[in-house]
Amino acid sequence: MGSPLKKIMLCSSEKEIFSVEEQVMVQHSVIINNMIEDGSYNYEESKIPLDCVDSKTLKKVIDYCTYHTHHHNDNQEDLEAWDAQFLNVDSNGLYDLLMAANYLEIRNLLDLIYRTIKNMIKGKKIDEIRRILNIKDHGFTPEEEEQNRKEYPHFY
Amino acid sequence: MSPLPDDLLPEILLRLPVKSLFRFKCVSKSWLSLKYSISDPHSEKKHFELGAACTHRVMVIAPEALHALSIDSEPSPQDDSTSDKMEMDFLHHELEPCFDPFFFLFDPAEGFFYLREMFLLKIIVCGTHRMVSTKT
Repeated sequence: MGSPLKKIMLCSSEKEIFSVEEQVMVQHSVIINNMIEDGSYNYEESKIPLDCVDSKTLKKVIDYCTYHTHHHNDNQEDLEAWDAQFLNVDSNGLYDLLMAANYLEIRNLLDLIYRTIKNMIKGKKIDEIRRILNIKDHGFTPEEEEQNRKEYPHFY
Repeated sequence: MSPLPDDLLPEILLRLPVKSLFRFKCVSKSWLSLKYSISDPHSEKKHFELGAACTHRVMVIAPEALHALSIDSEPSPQDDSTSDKMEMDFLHHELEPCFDPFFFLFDPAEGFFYLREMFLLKIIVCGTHRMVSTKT
C-alpha cells in the first residue's frame, strides 16, 4: 500500500496557511529541501514561516513549483509558453516574485525572472532603464551626470 | 517596481551582452561599481559560465584585419549590439606566432575569452588584456 502524499505547511506574511505536497517544494526550493533533510521540519506541528512573502505571491510560487513538478517532461516550447504566461504580471508582482524566489532559493524560477528583467531593459535608453527599475537615486553628482550625458548622448 | 537590491543586480547584468555594459555603467553609481567588481577570480569564473550558457554570441577575429566581429545569433530589433566590431591591433605582437585564420571566442558580457588549447586569454573590452590562466 502506497503512503499518501506527504504535505508540508507554509505560512505567508498574512499568517495564511498553505498546504503543499512536500515533493513539490523539496524539488524546487533549496531552503525547504534543507529543512526537510536536516529533520528540522516536524510534520505534526511545523509551519514554515515566510514572513517576507505575502499570500498572493506565495500562491504564485506554489503554482510555479507544482506545475514544473508535474510537467517537467513536457516539451520545452510548452514549458516556455507556460512560463511566459505565468510571468505576465505587473512590475510590482515581478519584484515580489523575485524576492520570494530569492528567499526560498528556487533557482529555475530565479533564472526565469532574471531573464525577464534582462529582456525588459535590454537595448533600452538609460532614462527608460531608470524608470523601469525605479532607480530614483542614481548616485552620480549633477556634474558627473552632465558629463555622462555629454559624452554618451545616444545612451539617454 | 521597488529598486532591486545590489546583491541581485549582477545576476541581471551578467546576462546582458557586452555593448550594453558600456551604456549600463551610466545608469547608476552602483552599476558602475559592479562593472569593476568582477575582477576577482571567483566572479570571473561566474561570468564565463553564465556568459557561455546564456548568450548566443559568437566572436570571430580576422587576423589580417585585426578586428573582432561579434555577432548575436538571436538579434532583437531593439538591441543595438546585434553586431559589434572591436579593433584588436594591440593583440598583434602578443599572438602573432600562433595566429590562426579565425578564432572563436565566447562573449561573457564583460570581456572576451579567447580559448586555445594552451591558454585562456581574457581581453577586456577597453583594449587592455591579460592572461587569466595558463595550463601546461
